Amino acid sequence: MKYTATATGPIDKLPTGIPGFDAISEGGLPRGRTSIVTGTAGSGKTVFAAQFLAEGIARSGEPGVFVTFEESPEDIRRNVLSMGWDLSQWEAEGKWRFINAAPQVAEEAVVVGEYDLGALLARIEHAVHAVGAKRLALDSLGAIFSRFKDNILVRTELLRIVAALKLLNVTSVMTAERGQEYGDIARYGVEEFVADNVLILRNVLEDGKRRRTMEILKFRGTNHHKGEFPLYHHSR
Amino acid sequence: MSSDLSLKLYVAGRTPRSAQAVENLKRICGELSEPLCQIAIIDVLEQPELADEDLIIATPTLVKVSPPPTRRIIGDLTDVWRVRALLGLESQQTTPQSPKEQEV
Repeated sequence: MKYTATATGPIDKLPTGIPGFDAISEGGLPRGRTSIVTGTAGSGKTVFAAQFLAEGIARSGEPGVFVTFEESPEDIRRNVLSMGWDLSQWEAEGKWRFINAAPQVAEEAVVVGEYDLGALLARIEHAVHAVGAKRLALDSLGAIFSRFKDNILVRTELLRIVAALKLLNVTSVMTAERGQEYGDIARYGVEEFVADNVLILRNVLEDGKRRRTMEILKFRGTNHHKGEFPLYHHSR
Repeated sequence: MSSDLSLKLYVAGRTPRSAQAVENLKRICGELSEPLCQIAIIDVLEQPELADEDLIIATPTLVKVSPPPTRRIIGDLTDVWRVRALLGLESQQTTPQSPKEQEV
């Protein structure tokens, strides 16, 4: 792949601190850009997104914002505790901030007329400014597309959010779902066009054993290793 | 009064869409003699923390706070008949009253 320098200079990379990933990506994630991490259920994409934020706080003092469309913040706090990350502590210290965009079962919203996702964007900008976030994770794109049926609108709004994050110089990871390990990139067929970079997490059953791999499918404008590479769990 | 309709309308900035939602809501409430509407209009660009509290994602979003059941409607509310029905209102044919409105 050709290495392209932009007018302002080569693309800077943000070390993620995730074991193995920084080697495959030759330095980390392109700074200020958005990457899609797509994978089947159980491929570990939510953990990857949370780990991206956690490593930023633990290693580099970079605050992060986690936008959750599926699980509640409380569920996520509980889930990552087993990995040794105390999110409540980081939240109290102003290093980790949740944006709760999970559906509220009590009230199902009805659509009457035209709308946009302006409040989501406003909340994201507010949270990024509030903690001085350098990293953002959004879980998941599939949940947004399934909740707001107008796919064109959702894509337009996501592009708006990605553009805002770029202006804020926030490096972002957004998760997406796919139905099979080798096939379409993601369920709605448009997720990969929202971002500059596409990462595929796989959880392949081979010889009776689960193999977790990472493939960087696309990194706009910068180098990376091609093909699938083994990825290891976060170890304490 | 406990039967007063307490509503919050979340909008994102002063856009034609925001104005449309506000206008439609005032029309719906303006036609009522009973109950009275208490409307709070909240601009998420100015008060994003309120959007955080109410977990608002889309704009405009109309939240019916009381009387129960609570209800959310997303959109510019152009179909006023539908909005009335969702809010549990019957259109009154008597003298319209201006709703009590607070800019939050």
